[in-house]
Order: sequence, then C-alpha cells, then structure tokens
Amino acid sequence: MKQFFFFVFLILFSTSSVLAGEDVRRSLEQNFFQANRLYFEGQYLESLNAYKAVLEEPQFKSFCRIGGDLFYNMGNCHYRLGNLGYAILYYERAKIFMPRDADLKFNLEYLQDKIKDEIAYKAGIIDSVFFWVKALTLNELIIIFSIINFLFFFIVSLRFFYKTESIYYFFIFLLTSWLVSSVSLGIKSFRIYCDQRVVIVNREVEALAGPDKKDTLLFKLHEGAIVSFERSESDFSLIRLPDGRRGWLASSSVKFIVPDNS
Amino acid sequence: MKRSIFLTLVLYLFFFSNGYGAISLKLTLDKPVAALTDTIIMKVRIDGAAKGALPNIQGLDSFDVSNGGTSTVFKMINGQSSYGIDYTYYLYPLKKGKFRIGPAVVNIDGKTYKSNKVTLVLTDDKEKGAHLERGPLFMEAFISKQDLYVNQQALYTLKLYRRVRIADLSLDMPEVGGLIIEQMAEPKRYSVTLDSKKYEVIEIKYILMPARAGSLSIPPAKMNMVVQQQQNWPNSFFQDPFFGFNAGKPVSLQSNSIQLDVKALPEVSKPDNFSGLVGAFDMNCELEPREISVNDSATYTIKVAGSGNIRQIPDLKIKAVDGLKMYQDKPVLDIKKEDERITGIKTMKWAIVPERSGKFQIPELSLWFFDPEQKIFKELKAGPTSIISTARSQKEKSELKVLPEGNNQTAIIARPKKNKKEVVQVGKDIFPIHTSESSIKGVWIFRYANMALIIILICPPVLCLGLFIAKRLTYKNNNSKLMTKSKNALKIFIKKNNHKNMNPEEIHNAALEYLNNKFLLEGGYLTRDEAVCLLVKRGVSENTSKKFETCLKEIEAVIFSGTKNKNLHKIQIEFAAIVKSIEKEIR
Repeated sequence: MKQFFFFVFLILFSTSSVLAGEDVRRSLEQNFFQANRLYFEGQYLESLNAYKAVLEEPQFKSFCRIGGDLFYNMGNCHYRLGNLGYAILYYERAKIFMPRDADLKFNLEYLQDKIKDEIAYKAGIIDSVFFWVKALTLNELIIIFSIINFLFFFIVSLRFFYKTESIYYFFIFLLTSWLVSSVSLGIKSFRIYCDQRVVIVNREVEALAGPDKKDTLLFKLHEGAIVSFERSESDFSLIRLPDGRRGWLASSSVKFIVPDNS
Repeated sequence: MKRSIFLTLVLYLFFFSNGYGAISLKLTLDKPVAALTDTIIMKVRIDGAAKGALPNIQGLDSFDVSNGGTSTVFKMINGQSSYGIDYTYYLYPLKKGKFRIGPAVVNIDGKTYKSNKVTLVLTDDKEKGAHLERGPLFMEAFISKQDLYVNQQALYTLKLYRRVRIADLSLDMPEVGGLIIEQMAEPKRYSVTLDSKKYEVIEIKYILMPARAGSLSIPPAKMNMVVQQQQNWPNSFFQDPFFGFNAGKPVSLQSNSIQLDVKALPEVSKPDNFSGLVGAFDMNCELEPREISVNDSATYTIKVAGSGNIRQIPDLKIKAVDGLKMYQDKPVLDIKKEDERITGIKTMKWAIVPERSGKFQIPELSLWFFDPEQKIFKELKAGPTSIISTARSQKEKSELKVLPEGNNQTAIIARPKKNKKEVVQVGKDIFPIHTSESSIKGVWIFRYANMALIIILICPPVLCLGLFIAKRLTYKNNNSKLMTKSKNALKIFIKKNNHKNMNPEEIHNAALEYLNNKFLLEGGYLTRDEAVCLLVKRGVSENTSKKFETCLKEIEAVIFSGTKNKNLHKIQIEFAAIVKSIEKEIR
C-alpha cells in the first residue's frame, strides 16, 4: 500500500514539474517573439530591452546556455541604434555559439569596415595547427569527443579479450583521434573560459600611461576595437593591442566578450 | 706563402704605426679634357697619413659629385716605406667650359694641408669625337625623333658600351613631368666595333609619349655598376668570380641629355569629337550572321588596331535602334610591344537581338585620330551595316514547345544570348535578425547537459577500468587455484595410493596424475621418458628420477604382460617414498 502511494506521489510530482517547465518555455518564446516583432516595427531600443528580458530568465543565468541567435539579434538592435561597439560585442559573443553562420559572418565583416582603428590580429601557431577549433562550437567538440571517447574505451575493453591485428589498428586510430579531439576540446574550453578579449564600446577612449586621468595620453581607440585585457586598478583597465602596445582605459569603456558569469 | 707573410707584416707595420710621416696632398683627374656626357674620376691622395678627415675640395660648383670610396696605399721602395689614403670622386659635368678644380684642403692633427689645383676642359658632346677618345666604359642615349606632337610615340634608346667586366648593374631613369615612359622588351646584348675596338653593348629601349606641349628636356639617365679590376695574381683561384674576391670599383655613368620639342595638335582643323588618339590606326566592323530569326542573336564586332597611344582608344557606343536590342560585351584591349613601337587591337562586341521581323540598319560609327606623319586629322568609319530579321517559322515554334528544357539547341534558340555582366553591389546593410523558435531551444537541451556530459564522458573509462580490474581478479583467482592444486598433489597421491587392493593401472595412473597435478599439466598422462625428462628439468636428482622410471617400468610390465605381481604393494610403497623425495628435491 505504501509503495502504491509513493508511485502516485512520484507521478504527480514529475507531471507538475513538466507542466511548470512548459509554462516557462511558453513565456520565454512569447518574450522572444515580442522582441522580434518590435525589431521589425523599427522599435530597436524596445526590442533590445525585450531580448535582455529573455536573457534575464533563470534558464540563461549561465553564459553557455544562451544560444548565439539571441546575441546575434541583440547585435543587430545595437547596430540599428548606432552602437557599433556593442554591436560588435554581441556579434563576437554570438560567434562563440555559431561560428559558421553566414549572416553573422557577413554582419561582422560589414561592421569591421566601419571600425576606425586598423588593428592587425595575427593567428597563433595553435590556431593554425588546430584550424578546425575555430570553426566548431564547444558543444560540437564535446559531442565529437564523447563519441570518440566511447569508441576508444570500447576498443580498449575489447582488447582485454581479443588481441587481433584489426583491433590493434582500430585502437591506434582511435587513440590518435582521442588525443586530437581532447586537445581540441581543451583549447576551445580555454579560449572561451579564459577569453580576456574586450571590446571598446565608447565612441573614443584615451589610452593613458597609468590608471589616472592625469597620466600621459599614449594613443586613442575607437568603438568596436577588440583588445586584450590584462588587469584593472580602481576605475581603469590595462589593455594590450596585438602589436604589443599597452595603455590604461576607463573600465566603463570596455566590455568582456565572455562575461564573468560564464 | 712568402707573399702572404710579407703582406701580413706590411699590414701590421702599417696599421700599428701611429705616427705620421711628411704629409702631402695631391689632386688628380683621370683626363684633362672631357665631354659633357663623360664621368671624370678625381682622386685626392694624402701621402704620409694613415687616417684623416675628408678633404674639402673647391671649384666643384659646376659638377654633380658622388663619392667613389676610400683606399689605403702602401709602398716600399728600396727599403723605404710610404703610405697614404686615396679619396675617389666621380664628377658629372653640368655645363661646358674651362674649370679650375682645387685645392683640396684637409685638416690633420690641427694642421691644414692643401693640394695642387687642376684644370679641366669640358666640351660639347658633338665635339667629342674629334679630339676625345672613348674610354672602356661609356653610355649614350638616342631618340628616334626630337620634334613630336602631344601623345606621339618616340623611341628612346640607352646604350652601354663596355670593354671591361662589370657587375651589379642598375639604371636610374630620369623622371620628367608630362612625359610617359614605358619600357619595351628585355634589354638586348650584342657586340660592335668602335675605333677599331670591340665593345659589348647593352641596349635598353623605351617608348616616350609627351602628355603636354612645350620644350621638354630629358635629363641624363644614370647607370651604377661595379667594374671588376684585374688582379696581378696569375692562375689564382681568387680570380674566380665564384669566390667573389675580385676587387670591384663602383662606377656611375650618365648618358647625354636629350631635348624634345613637343607641339600641340593643330586646333584649327580639330574635329569636335576628336578621341585624342595620335598615331596610325585602322577600324573595321563585322556582323555575323547578317540574317537571323526574331529573338535570335547576331554578333557585331568592331576592331580598332594600330600604333600610338592605343590605351586611349575610346569605348564606342552605338545609337539605339527601334526594334533591335543591343548588349555590349566588355571591350578587350590587346597590346603588343614590338621592337620599336607599341601596337594593339581593341575589340568591341555587341549581341544584336531583333525584336520583330524586318530590315534594320546598325548606325555608322566614326573615330577621329591625328596622323603625326601627315600632320592631319583622319576619320575612321564603321558601317552602317544592315541586319535582316525574319519571323520564326511555325515549325520552329512548335519545335521550341516540344523540345525539352535541357536540350542545348532549344536553349540557344529559345533564349537569346545575353551579355553577362558582373553582379554590381548597389547597397550594403546587415542581415536581419534570426526569428526561429529554435533560437531559444538550446536552453532546454542544456538543462540536463552537465549531468549527461559527465555520464557520457566518465562512463566509458570507468566501465573499461572495471573490466580491467575484473579480468585481473579472475586471473589471480585462477592462478591461486592452480597453485593450490600443485600444493595438494602429494596429498591427493597419498590418499589414492593408500588403498591396499589397488590394481596396477590405478597405481600407474596415480603416479602420473601426481606429476600432472604437481606441474599443472593438462591433457593426458606423460610417457615414461617424458616424465623422467620433466623431473630432471625441474631439479629432481638423477637417482630419484631413475627410481621413478624403474617403478614405472615395473608397473607397466605388469600391466602390459597381464601377469599377477605379488610385489604390487611394494611398488606402491616405493612410489610413495619416491614422490616424497620429489617433493623435497623439486625447485
């Protein structure tokens, strides 16, 4: 009898949680479609706020749970509002989730032409050797690694019992694939979770020799420029250009491509 | 060897002697009389000084001067050594006349030293042949025509004559505003004989085209090179150019300047639609086919060929004709650089498509150019050309309907050939937002992603490890079972052997079974020889092995003969004793 009540309780509980989840999903979709409608009506600021409201849902509390499309749409809103820096910031965020998306690629290239600063970004040796890492998302790499991981350990287990030549070759092939995919996954994870790139979001910012307004002006940067963050002191952040030049900028003028809560 | 020791000694003496001897300066020129196109080598020698400041030379206002380097001189005559420095300069004359050069002044250790003065007479290039001798290296410039019209071609030739070996040749062409200079083919090399001397000639040709009227002066072209000097080391491998030890002297040569008189095109007879072409041109047109069906296409081609400023041949336009559609191809310009002129052909093509049947006339096209030889403007004409368009027959129309889309013939007939053009980007904007609900679907997948990920990634290695441990444990278990079996072999044997009424087969089998258990053997029983071999191998003494063999022999004799043996029990006891000995002796 006790068991019967336990099962009834379990069914009711799971059903209610599924229904609650369905409600949240519907509400999310409504907000998303509302934001899209506002965009097409030309109300870009309202549309942007609606997308932000979607982002504030608890489901999106982690950066990695947000799809690239949301960021892409927000980038479009910012572009329409004339915020070039923010548009690039959101497109760069979207690129993490959909690196091969043709629309995003076009929009980013289009905006790159509008940036005032000409900054040459060089590809490192690792990027050249593991060229596919850039073209794949973290999720895709996880899936690839999971499959190879399963097959690799399956073949290892098989080798405990059958030591044939064909199994040996499979083992060598899978071992190589396992190593390559695990390193690729490691690189991708590092690139995302240790991404120190920031985007300049103010129209023009002055890079100073020190974290003080009175310090010497070294050079000027304009919105949309992507630089590397080194450290921050009081209200200033030390940034580095790809050519090695460094300077202190007001922290409010830069935004991390991958936010802290990722 | 001796020479090298001598040279080392001399250099040592030279470089480590810091004192100065009697210092004197001497200014010399390589020739007292020269032409304007010549390069004069001037040397200032400072005798008695190993180092010193650059000399200051007066009287060089009428020359372009370039530094030819410094060399040290060491002489030893009748046991007395002398040394000095040579400063070399190249003088490029700017005007003719008589010039006093010098003195060269140098300051050494606070004292001022002065050289002698020299006189240099510079004459016109034309006078040069009369009383000047050409050196082993000189350069000349020629122009095919000095009186030119604007945009008329002239051939400018540079010739370098040489009787010495040279290397690292480079040319500085003069830049003249209002003059277009275009190099012709690769430089030519040939030999000529001048004044009974054989010269190697390097000839470079350019086409000049003045862009404006007036007097234009082409300054001298300069050539820089290294003249390889002959060494006094006969048969030395250092003379091989491969080793690069040949002493080289940098030399700079300049050509004569050339004056051009450029006339503007005559304004009086200049037509309104003059194209700006100057030279000799020809134009022809072709229509293929001349008779076509409605909506078919014919190709109308106009070719303008000739020599002159062909890059300025304009793109001709045909006036619109009612009932005809015209699609122009991108014109093609084919330029050829001949030996002494630039020629070319510009081909312009149109696809002509009649919209209805009838006879149409493609209007006449004209092109004006200026002929500098005859000094008149000339007109080139193409057309007018007629094209006849006939209505498509009923049969053709029906064929068009029946034939499938993929048929090439139909495709050609059905769709008039159109001019393909590059897609032109008219505007640019960002692509729109993504509206699909799948955009936010990822959230639901991610709800359980972390847990799933851990399971997917961790499970395979954990399962694999579990299998590995299980396999190891099974292996150990099997081993321990076998070890136990081996240890208990004696017990099993004694237990079996203790029965009094054992038949010979049972005794024989018990003995061999003992060996199987003891040495963990599988399969059937061993033969007598195999058993003895095994015992010896495992460290049992020969005596015990022999006893075991004897007992086995006896029991086998009983078994195979079928006779009864009263000593069976004795054999049993013997076996028990031997097995105990084996247990002790075994390793």
